Amino acid sequence: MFNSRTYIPRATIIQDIEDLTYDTRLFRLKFKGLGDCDNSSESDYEPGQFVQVSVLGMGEAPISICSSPKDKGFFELCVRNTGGVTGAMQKLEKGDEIGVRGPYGNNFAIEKATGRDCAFIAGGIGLAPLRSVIKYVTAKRADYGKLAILYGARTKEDIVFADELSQWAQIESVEVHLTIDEPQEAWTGRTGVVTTLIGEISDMSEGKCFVCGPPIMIHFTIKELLDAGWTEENIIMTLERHMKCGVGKCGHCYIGDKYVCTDGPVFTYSQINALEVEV
Amino acid sequence: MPVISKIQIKNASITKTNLFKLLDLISQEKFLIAPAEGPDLEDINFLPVTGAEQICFDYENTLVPPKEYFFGQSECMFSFSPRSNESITVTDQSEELVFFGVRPCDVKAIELLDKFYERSFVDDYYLSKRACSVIISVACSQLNEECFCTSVGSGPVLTEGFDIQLIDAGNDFAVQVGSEKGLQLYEQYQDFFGAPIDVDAEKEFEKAKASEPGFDLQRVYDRLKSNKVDDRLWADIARRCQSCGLCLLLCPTCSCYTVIDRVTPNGRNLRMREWDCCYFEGFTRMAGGQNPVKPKEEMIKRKYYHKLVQQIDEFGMSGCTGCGRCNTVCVGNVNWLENIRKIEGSGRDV
Repeated sequence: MFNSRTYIPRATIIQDIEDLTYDTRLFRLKFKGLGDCDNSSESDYEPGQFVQVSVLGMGEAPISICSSPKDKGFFELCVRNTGGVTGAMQKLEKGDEIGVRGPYGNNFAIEKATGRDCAFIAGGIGLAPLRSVIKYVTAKRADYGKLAILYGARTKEDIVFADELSQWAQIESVEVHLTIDEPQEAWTGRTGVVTTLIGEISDMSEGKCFVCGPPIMIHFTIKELLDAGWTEENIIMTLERHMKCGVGKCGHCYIGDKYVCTDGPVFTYSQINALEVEV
Repeated sequence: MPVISKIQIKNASITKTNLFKLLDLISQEKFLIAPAEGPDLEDINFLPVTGAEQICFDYENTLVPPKEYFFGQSECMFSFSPRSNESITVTDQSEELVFFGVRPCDVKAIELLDKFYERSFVDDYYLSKRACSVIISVACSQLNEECFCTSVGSGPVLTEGFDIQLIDAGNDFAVQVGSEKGLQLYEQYQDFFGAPIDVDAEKEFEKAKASEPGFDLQRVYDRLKSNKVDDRLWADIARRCQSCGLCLLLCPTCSCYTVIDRVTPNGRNLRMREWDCCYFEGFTRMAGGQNPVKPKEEMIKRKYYHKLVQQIDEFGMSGCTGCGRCNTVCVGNVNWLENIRKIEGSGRDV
């Protein structure tokens, strides 16, 4: 754990901020001082886990860690301006302080994908949590089969991690396909929603598919994947819920018989079905 | 360490005169919380008392359950200066609280909350307050209009899980000591107690059960778990429910909260947690406005499922302890007990 008491955030310093789009920023954080829970060791978080980010005076918000556990000495959060806390984070500067609690939640169970093909389908800022696992598998490239990344954004201005997407495309047997919703001036790539790219991975349906994005995108992506022959067990997705505590106490994310914060946020589609959650 | 360390039950007795004297002494030596009439209202609630004459002995149950002493309606998690996370200050609870007059249903509710807050991740705020509290509960000798404890296994007399339990036996109370903490209190005031007397708790239970409009919890569980409840029931409740949240705020086992930062000009900056209700529309609304649990039927179904299926699966005890408070306070005339009985009956072969 980054923090030693359940509800008390641990101070981190913003080492760097990168504006990814007009409303989305990448924060690189380092713990203030070195305590007994430094994050330089690999085991401190797993791809798919999240932290409760705390801006004192504003409150807390759950944010996925988007760096890889293989990154040493820092971790990164990709934050879009959508609410009180994330809005306040837009005003922060390099050197400022942010509190964090966590890491919380389960993870993408990437060890189960060893030796298999992996597809990653992301919509918008949904690429952030998948970036953690993409960075992890590309760093251990030999352990996995073919890799494919399908990414859809609303407009070209909404594309996050553009440089990294082209870097990943350079890696051996890693395919990257991009699309934006509507044609735009100076865009020569594909247009249409991300589901139009699923044909590109039709030969990978025996592998694992990781899906992350807004609810509407997840809804149609899963439908297409099932039609294309992927099993419910091999479709892995994250559920987004309102959360206050992150530790299975405040009750906001409770669904069926699970707490998304402690039992999730990563679920297979077969688990989602059992929960009778509509996606 | 568990909040309650159970011991083999030790039996004793106390005369009603001695109980009055004992409570009077405790109220002077310790911090005593007991059923009492508030200064402005006629409602009976758990209030701090400084003399036994302030205690209401003739009460059915309190309006507000005792959970508020362990999980406050509005409580400070820590104070801070807005600029630095290193300025965070936490105040831990350390004052000993003695409770008198908690009913078996509420003792059971506290037992459930103990289990909930003890499971990972542990909640220091709740547990520290529980650790320095000791409860003298009073078994019920009659069933009140809205109660149904015998259907959910939480009364009218407890068989375990209490610190000290008193059972009315006319001029005396039979006394049962059931935990380490209870034993400590008993030994400290041993002079007030007498030799064990006989009470037939089983007879009390049978008597109460016979007069109660009960239900078969197992069948209710099965109906809910197998999703065999007629959807029209949820639609009916959704139409009546005004989302005021009273049933949840006064529920002795409800534990949902929201977190709010209060920044004041005088520099007292606090991160607060405050009771929240799953019947409030904003409860599940996310940043950006999307709400995954929008239809009211879904909210309502979730509450019934949580208390009557999920908590039984997780903790081995019902999440409803049959206190009946929710029935008394509902402005929309939604009757939880009546609905449970409808769930029990739904899908029954005719």
